[in-house]
Amino acid sequence: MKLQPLLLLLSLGFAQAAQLTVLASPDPTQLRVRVNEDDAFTERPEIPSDPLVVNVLRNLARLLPEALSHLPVTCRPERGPSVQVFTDFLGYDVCRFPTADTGQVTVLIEGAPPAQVTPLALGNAARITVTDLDDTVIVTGVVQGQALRNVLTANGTNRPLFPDAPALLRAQAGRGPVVYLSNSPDGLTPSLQTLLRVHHLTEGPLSPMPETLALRGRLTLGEVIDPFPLTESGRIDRNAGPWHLPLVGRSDELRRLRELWAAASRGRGPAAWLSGEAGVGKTRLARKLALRAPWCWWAAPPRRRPARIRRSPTRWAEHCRCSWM
Amino acid sequence: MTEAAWLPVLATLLLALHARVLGLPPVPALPAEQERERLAAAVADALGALARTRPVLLGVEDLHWASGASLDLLAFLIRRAPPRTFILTTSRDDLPTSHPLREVRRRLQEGGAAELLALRRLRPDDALRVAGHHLPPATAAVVAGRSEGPPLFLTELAYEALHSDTGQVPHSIQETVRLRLERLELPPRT
Repeated sequence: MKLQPLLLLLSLGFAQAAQLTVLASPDPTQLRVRVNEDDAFTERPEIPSDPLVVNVLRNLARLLPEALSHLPVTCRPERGPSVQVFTDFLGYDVCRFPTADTGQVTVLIEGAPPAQVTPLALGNAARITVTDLDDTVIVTGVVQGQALRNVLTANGTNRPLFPDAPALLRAQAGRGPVVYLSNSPDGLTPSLQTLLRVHHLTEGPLSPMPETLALRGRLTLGEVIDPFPLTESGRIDRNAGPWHLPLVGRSDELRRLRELWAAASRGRGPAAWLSGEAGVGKTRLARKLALRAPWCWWAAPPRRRPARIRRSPTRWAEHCRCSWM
Repeated sequence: MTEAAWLPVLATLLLALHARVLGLPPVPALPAEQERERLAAAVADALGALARTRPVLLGVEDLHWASGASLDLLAFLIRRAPPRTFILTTSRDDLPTSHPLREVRRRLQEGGAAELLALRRLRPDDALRVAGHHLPPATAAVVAGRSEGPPLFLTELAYEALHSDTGQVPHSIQETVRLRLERLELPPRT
């Protein structure tokens, strides 16, 4: 039997949040997306100071065969009616409430003890953009959801979360449609307030913008949105992005990585630690390692062949983050 | 830790596991430090279980943003990496001397548990090859020179040189941002 390496890429920064996935939405006027790690189960109030450990474990959960898919989950708020959802085949879903004034939400999963979580409200999102510009995490729009806010805070206590957000993010927007997470005017930073003014948007709940609706019509359910390959024309360009420039000058490092991986695959070997200044290509090299492995397999994106193994030369990291074999 | 042992421990954090593996026994409470050690061991054993059927590559990026507890967990996993498990990490190297990552990395290197691969800026000839992939030689030479070697800056400058109306090459990454701002149109108001 041919062995299939299992790939799992985690990011302890916030690069994971760069991945947005289109979810089914009963309301055709709404773009409903999933932001990695920003889901009800990521929160663990018992260990509020250490969400990253929880995140790592959560990613591991994706690797457990049939672990968390299609589970009935009931979210019972303090105020308002309960909401029941079923997790998708990756074990995700988001309970949506008609109002943010729900108070604490108890998540009930059959067979598990109840868990208290902070409510999230992605349902009214009009536009979202979350991008990671070389370790500088930029989040535009109105950051909604205490879980997302907590993760950002936990990861960013020693750096500005929104360094000159209006300028940098509008520059990012130049590459294509930008999706903003909106609907909570509370706690806006001055940078975000400025951003809204620049875009001629009022604070408060936003209606879906025309581009959002158009984007929603073009996207396929389950599609993984990568903010980087969005082009100025507004279409998702699979061929855009800096990773399509050739990888040059890294042959020694790549060869050594492959040696280490091969040694580890046969038995035991040391871990590899890629180190370098910002923008030097650490992530690119890590991705290249998997791409060039002749026996590297990874899962296809859900929109193509759900739950089937498929070899593909592109977007492996996104697949690995959101899928398991 | 046997499989029967690590699953209930993981389930203390992944509550939904209870729905998939019925009858998981309750996990006795432990002092905080022992609880942390038990969790780390459970994660390592879970990786080991996965690696029994196929090699596992675990990539963990941007360690410079990791919390102390996450670094402890990762160091534990690196030292106790199960057979056929390869852990690949990335981090910045321009860290303050007091950054905890430095000490973690030093200990792992000295113990032979991790091998450091330090990436440097591209050499001028390599930078020229990258820039020349899309640009004519003269422009590529300008882009390569102004980038000073970091691939990110190189690709951003090349992108700007390709997409700017004038074809001019920005002098810095800051100018790249400014030029893109100037080309933007304000989005329609809803």
